[in-house]
Amino acid sequence: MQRLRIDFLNRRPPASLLGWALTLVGVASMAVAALDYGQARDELQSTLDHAERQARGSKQRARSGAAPAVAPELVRASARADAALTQPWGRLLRELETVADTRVALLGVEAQGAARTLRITAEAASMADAVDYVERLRQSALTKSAVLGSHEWRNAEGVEVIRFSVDMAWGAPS
Amino acid sequence: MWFAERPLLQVALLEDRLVVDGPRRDGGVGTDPKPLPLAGAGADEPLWRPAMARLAGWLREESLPRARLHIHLSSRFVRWQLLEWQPQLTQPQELEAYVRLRFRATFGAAADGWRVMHAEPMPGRAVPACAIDEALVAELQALRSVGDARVVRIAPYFSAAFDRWCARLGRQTAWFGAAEPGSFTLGLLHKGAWRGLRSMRHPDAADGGWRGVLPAMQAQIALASGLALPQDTPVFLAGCGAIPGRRDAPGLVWLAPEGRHEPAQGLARMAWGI
Repeated sequence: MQRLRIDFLNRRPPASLLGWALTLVGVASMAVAALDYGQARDELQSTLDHAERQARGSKQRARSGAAPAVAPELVRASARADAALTQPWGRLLRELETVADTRVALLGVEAQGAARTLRITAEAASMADAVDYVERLRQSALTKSAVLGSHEWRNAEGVEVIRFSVDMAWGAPS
Repeated sequence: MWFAERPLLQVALLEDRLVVDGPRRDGGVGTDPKPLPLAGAGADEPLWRPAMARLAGWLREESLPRARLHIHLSSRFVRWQLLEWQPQLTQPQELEAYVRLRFRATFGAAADGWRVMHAEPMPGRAVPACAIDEALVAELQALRSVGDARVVRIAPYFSAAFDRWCARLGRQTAWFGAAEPGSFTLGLLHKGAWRGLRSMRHPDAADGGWRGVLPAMQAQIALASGLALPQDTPVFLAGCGAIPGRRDAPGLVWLAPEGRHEPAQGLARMAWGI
């Protein structure tokens, strides 16, 4: 049967031995938990500090080490790429297509962007067609010079054709 | 030595007498301490005023200004109620307010000046609650002005006696009564829960006056509880009014301490709360 425990001064009855024991266990557990928490917090802070130091070191190395050694080459390469990309390739290729006709088949174009020189490889049914093609190239507004470089007769599936190359210098019309 | 300078006194506050007892020098208890008779309270005075005035004077007369006091109150100063379990009250403050509200509803505006206490609530079980004058608590605490006397406990005699003997009752269906001169408090317990609780005055101020009101109180409480109580439901009694060991009625069990460290009979039991 449960006691009434009425006390108008509202004082709690003294704790039993079990109560004190549980209190001690609770306090000890709290102390252990607080210690663990402190250690974990220190460990986390240490890890964060380490990560921050590493990140700061990487940035410094990136700024102070690599940039001076790599930058000139990168700048030159970038400039070359930029120069090559800024050439009027679209206009030049359209001009090459316009000059060619059904008697000449273009096989390849090797371009030196910075030097604005081309080597065109093509096949024609006759030497006269090849010469006509070179002549039309020379008449183009983009062409500075066009020279028939080499030629050879080839048998393509039973048909005799002449493969030739043209060295061409080009530039924007002034 | 510190405790020796602060003797622990057991005090019973009644309407017409004051009983003070304490440990004897030999560690045991002797004869019943002589109750200090009181003049009746004035028409506008609370019933406890003469006992409080006598207690303060007695502490000064006996040169006990640093005494520690356990105060046990007569049921004449205490109002009991048995409150139904309210499952929707989940916070202690809510239960506190509910108990206060019930006293206000039962006793009116007078309850505003009372200090209310309740037993620890148990789910599904009625909660015994009681109230005393707030002014009585204040005057007891003001005994500090008598040197450095300190009241360390204020409890109704009924609840103190029940706490002392409840282990004897177990979980059986039983009556528990506390007999005092001029009043009797009776509770009904069933399977470890309170099912009824009443106090009643009786005209016979002698120790055996409770006998005249017991059957009526049992009938009232049993009827209100709705329980079909067997005839042989035991009645456990504490307080004044019988000689321990005397079997004067079937089913009546007088609870009396054994040994020499607590008084076995008489008004000293009220002072000790047993």
